[in-house]
Order: sequence, then C-alpha cells, then structure tokens
Amino acid sequence: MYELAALRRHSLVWLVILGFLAAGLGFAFYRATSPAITPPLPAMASTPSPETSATPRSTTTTAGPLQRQPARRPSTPPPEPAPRPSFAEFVDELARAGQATADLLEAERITEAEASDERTRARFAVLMATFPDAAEQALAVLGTIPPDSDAAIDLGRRMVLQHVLDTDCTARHRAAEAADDYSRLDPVIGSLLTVMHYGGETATLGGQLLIDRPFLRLSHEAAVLEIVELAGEDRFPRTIATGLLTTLWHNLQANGERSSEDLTSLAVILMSDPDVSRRTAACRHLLLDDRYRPMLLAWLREKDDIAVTAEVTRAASRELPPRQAIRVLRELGAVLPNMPGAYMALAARSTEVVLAEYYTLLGNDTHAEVRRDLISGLGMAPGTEARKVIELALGDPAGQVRAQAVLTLSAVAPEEAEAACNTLLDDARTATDPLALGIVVIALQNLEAAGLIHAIDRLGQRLQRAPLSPASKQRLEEILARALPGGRTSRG
Amino acid sequence: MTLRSITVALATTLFCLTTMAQSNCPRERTETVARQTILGKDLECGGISVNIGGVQLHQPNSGCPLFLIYEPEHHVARPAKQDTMVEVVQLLDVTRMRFECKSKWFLFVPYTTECRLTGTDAIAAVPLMRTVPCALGPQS
Repeated sequence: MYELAALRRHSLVWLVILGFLAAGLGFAFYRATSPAITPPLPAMASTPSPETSATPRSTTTTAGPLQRQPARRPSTPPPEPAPRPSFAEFVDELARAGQATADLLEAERITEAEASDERTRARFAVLMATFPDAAEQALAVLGTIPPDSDAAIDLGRRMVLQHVLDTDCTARHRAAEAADDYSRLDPVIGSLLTVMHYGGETATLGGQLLIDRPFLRLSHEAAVLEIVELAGEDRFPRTIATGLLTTLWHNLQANGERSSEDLTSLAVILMSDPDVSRRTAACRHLLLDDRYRPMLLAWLREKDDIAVTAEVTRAASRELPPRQAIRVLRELGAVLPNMPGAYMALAARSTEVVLAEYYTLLGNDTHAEVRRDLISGLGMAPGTEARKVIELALGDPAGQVRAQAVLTLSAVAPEEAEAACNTLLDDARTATDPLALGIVVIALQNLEAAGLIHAIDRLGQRLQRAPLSPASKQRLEEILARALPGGRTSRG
Repeated sequence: MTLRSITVALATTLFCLTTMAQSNCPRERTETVARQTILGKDLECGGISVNIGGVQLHQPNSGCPLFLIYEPEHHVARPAKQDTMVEVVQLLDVTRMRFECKSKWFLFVPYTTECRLTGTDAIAAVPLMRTVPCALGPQS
C-alpha cells in the first residue's frame, strides 16, 4: 500500500515536471517561430547578454544615390545570431555569478563584489523579462535538483529559483487581485505544493515562499491537507506542514473565503485530531482569539499534550501581547514545567512584564520553577534594571533560581560571574547539589568563550574537588583541556 | 535474643523500609519534549527588498534574526502508575546565538554569509532524565 501510494505520488510529481518541460519546449518553439520580441534590457557593465549582442542594430539608410553601394559578397554568410540561453542555462549562469559575488565578498574585495552584484541583478531582470512563464520554468528546474543536495551549484540554483518564483508569484498575485482573476497564479502555487512532496531543501524553499504569504487560497486546501498527512507519517517536515496550514487558514479568513466562525468551528474539531500538525494549527488559531483562549488552555491542561503545549507556548511568547502571553505561559506551566526558551522570547519583547512577574513571585516565595525560567529570560533583556534583578536573584531562596542567576550572569557579564560562582560553591545548600554544580560547569563555558582563562583555572580547581555527576565531571575536563595551557589547572 | 526473634526483627525492618520507600515514591516517569528553535525578530537591514520590473520584492523570510534560541530535546517528569521515579542523568545547554546583519544586502549571496553569527552562549539548562524503580532509587 505504502509503495503504491509513494509510486502514485512520485508519478504525480513527474507528471507535473514533464508538463512544465513540455510547456517550456512548446513556448520555446513558439518563440523561435514568432517574430522576435526584444525586451527592454538594462545596460550591462561588462558582460553583454546574448540578447543584446544578438539583436541586429537598426541602421538608417541615409545613403544617397551618389554613394557607392558596397559590393555584395555572397561568399561570406551573415554571422549567426548567438543562441539565446535556455531558462536552465540562465539559472546556472546566475548561480555562478552569485557564487562569484560571494567569493569577492569573502576576499573583502567589496567594490568588485558590489559591481558583480549589480551585473547579477541586471541579468536577473533580463531573465524575468525574457521568460513570461518564468514560474512554470522554475518549477520544472526545481524538480530536477536533488532535494538533499548541498553542492554549491545546487544551493545557488535554489536561491535563483526562489527569487524567480517569488518575483513572478508576487507580480501574478498583484495582477490577480486587481482583476479578481487568479487563473495565472493558482495553478503555479498548486504545482509548487506538489513539487514540495520531494521534501528536503525543496520543501524548505516552498515553505519560505508560501508560509505567511498571501498565495495560498481555498483551491489549495486539498494539497495542503495532503502535505499535512505526509507530515503525520513522518515523510515531510512537520513545522513546514503546520506553517502551511496556519497560513492557509489565515488567508481564508483574510480573503473572506471562510468566516472566522467557520474556522473556529473547524479548529475546535481539529483540536482532537490525531495529527500533531492539525492540532497545532487548531490550537494556534484558538490561542489568538480572546474568546476561545480560556477554553484552549483548559483543554491543554486536561489533555496533558506536551507536543502541542510546547508549540502553543512558543506561539504565545512571540505573537500575543506580552501581558496575555505571560498568563498563558503561567497557566501551561502545569503541563510543561521547563520552558526557558518561551520566557526568553517574551523577555526580548517586554522586559517589564518579566521583571514584574519575578517580583510578584519572589514576594510570595512561590513557583520557584517559574522564577528560574524568568531569570533565564532576563538574559535576553538589555538594561540596568534587568541586571539588578539578575543580581537580586543570586540571593533567591530557591537554589535552582540562584544557580540559574549565576548562569545568566555568566552569559551577560562573564567578567562578574566568577564571584557569583564562588558564592554558589561556598553555600552549604548548593555546594553538594549535583544539579547546581552542573550549572556552574555550564557557566564555565561562557567564561571560556569570553577568554577568562584565570577565572576558569581557579574555578576549575574548586570544581574538580566537588561532587559532580559523571556527565558534569567529563564536561569539566573537556573545558579545562580546551581552555587551559596543557589542558590542566595550575595546581593540576 | 533467639535466632527466631532476630529473623522476625530483620523481616519487620525490611518490610518497614519497603513500605516507606513505596510511600515516598513519587510515581513519576519521564516524557520527552521535542527540541525547539525560537527565532527573534528579523533585523531591519535583513531580507531582500528590490524593485524588479516594477514589482517590489520583499522577502522577510530571508532576513537576519536578532537571536536564535535552541532548546535541545529533553525530558520532563510526568505522573506514572508504577512505583517509579525520575533522576537527572545530564544537563543540556539551552543555547543562544546572536546575529548581526551587514549593512548591504547582496542579492545572491548565501544567507549565512550575510547574516553573521556574533556570539553563542549557554543561557539555561534542561535535563535529560531516566525512569528508575523506586526501590533502586536514592530515596529507598
């Protein structure tokens, strides 16, 4: 069954690619047999395009009857016009040009790099003007690139194709909106969704073109759901599948193709879907709606669904207003007790909210795990107020908060971290706690990155005598071997 | 004290210790939290913004994130039906990467060249844990 389905799916992909190739050949034939259309070409600094060199210059015949006409010389045939590069050849040329620009930049030959980039942009404009079916041609070429290839030329080709697809789809979308006719855009997007089945970098490229963009519409719903199904079978990246589904829903609502109520009803149904992508998309939709958020949070607490809860906390920390976001994080702490990343993303948006929450919890001496995550979040917050609270947390009643404060300080002000580490090692409550000691070893990495060799030497000596866990002991030895001369402490 | 009374005393002590161990048993197991990547907002200078053929192309997806937070796959303790407990085996770094965007955008230069990594630090820690029977754990 699986092989049959895979065969069907691959056949579909190849059919689409062959279709595009046939269309491209037909188009090329049409162009070859039709009067030439010379697009307006930008001036090229040093590399004249085949189009410009091949276009015969118009000559005004001002020769009067007394002027001698040049003798005809039938033995020398007129020079053959240089063949116009095919779309694929154009893509390769641009990929190589981009690589050349990167090489110049790497060699810090900035002026030459800028000139090279200008030429590349001009050639790109020529490509777009020459191929009115650029998006279809790009999809055909994209289907021939192995999805997991990281060869330089394939990376370059993908970048060029992404630019081509983006430019053409943006132009077509603008025209479609003006005329309320999506017949030139919808098929291209549908085919892109099919080519994305290849997975790997092809799927990533498609995701970058479609997620949080206006191109997905109701006519693509079946194709998006097919990708979600593939993700459910672990045959497609789940984050891309979820992103496509949430984008589709957003666009359906924005375009008026589905009402907010319809989507909310759908989301409520999909909250219990066995597929993680559908559940996540449904939960994200409900999270952003004030009316349904309490229901969603109650449902997540009841279901104890860690995978979706993690996604919801991430979305909340980035997308909800900070005060609402922190309430969501607090409520979901019962399901996911450790979420430093979400608090960091929130602290980067609003230091005040995080500081206020820490003061409140510290005043009541409750929720030590939340206080720990709040202090980890302050590592993302610039400013003296955040620094003061990190230093205040060095004296927090909970050992795990004090240890986190040491780690945060080692990241934001490594030169002050040695004293804080020593305080933790001197404290009888944490001096024999393997978890707190493990945090100090991690902090040592930040001192290493800051080049504080003497501090590493002194702290390393103390930690070597401490009751570390086997994993922390091994990590300490690795740090000392990397950071210290001879790989050992001065008293080693 | 006879041999019989000593045996009874030992058996009683063993029974009491086992009962105490079970009553102290938190009945927990580990559950995996998948790795997460959180990207900060794109820097203003990032992305592609170019006018080609009258079409303004702007692609924020290729912009340069201010920071990237990487939370590795780790474990949390969940309620269990069996007499088991969790113990931390190892602490894993939650890593922060900071980026800066160069002032000029080159259209075809690979993303990583343009969006420059300026620093990496460990900013928090999450645990790798394992589930062990309470009788074998440190509390028993």
